[in-house]
Amino acid sequence: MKKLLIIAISFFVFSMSWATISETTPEPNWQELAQEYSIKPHHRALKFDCVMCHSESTPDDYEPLETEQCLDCHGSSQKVANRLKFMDANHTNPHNSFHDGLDLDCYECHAEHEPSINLCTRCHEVGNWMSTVK
Amino acid sequence: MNKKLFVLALLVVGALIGTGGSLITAEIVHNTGNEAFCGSCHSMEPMAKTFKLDVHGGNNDRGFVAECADCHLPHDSVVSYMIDKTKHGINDVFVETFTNTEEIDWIARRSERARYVFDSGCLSCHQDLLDKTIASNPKSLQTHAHYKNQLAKEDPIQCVSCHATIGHADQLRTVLNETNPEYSFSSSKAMAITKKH
Repeated sequence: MKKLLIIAISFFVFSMSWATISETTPEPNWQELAQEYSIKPHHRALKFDCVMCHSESTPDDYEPLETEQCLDCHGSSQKVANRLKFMDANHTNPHNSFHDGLDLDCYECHAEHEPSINLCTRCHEVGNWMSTVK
Repeated sequence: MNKKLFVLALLVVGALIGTGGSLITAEIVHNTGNEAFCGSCHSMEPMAKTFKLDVHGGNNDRGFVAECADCHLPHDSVVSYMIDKTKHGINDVFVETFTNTEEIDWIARRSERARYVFDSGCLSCHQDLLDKTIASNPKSLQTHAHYKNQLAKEDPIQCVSCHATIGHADQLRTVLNETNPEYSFSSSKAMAITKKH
């Protein structure tokens, strides 16, 4: 009888603890978050969830990505530069530019949840160099 | 002639013709799916050139070389492989012979990669890729798990959805730009660049 009582109390305490944890950490509304933080078409086509880029435990802790995190998938600065090697001849390769070489951070131009910008356009007319930044 | 002997002779002749035909077909299939054959057409020269720069085209420490058909034909069954090979063969001969291939916008065609690169081809070599638990880049475990998860769903992603420049060393666009530049910028126009500030 004593053992049964201990088991019953343990079960009750465990249930209460679980309920408390569940109440304090509700499941994020992923659908709402996805609408608020829309992603770029090329990433949407890959059907990525938030956690493909963000490794923090809850959405409240999500931080903007560092270049190294982008390169986890995109390989290396050299690799992304190689894909636009045809622009090297005139030093217009934005991934290996006259000014920054391979040392330009992705976020200087590319933004996932808002429109990207073309850093080059701050000083140059680039209409005949490149298309829009995705 | 004895009827039984006639049937036996017929079977032997049939087997010889069937075996011979199969061997000849296999030899033809083998010799018409590699870079040497595909790259012999003028329009395929950029593809062949960049393939040889890629790890799949022999640019690796092991001396391994894949063939064009290993990626660009389905590998789920011999039947689908042969049907697609026949269709492509007829199409390619017709297009090379009767059309002006210079007018094909190969740079734009790259966006159709999911149509002409087959996951069954990738996975017939990379057999254990989706079940790996250790990788030099741990991110690949997450992305390949995502791929595997998508397979069960409608309209799954494909290998080339992510590996967009695979097989051509990231250089196909660059080589195609040598003959068909995407942008009008050239050295002679460098002086025309106007500064805003």
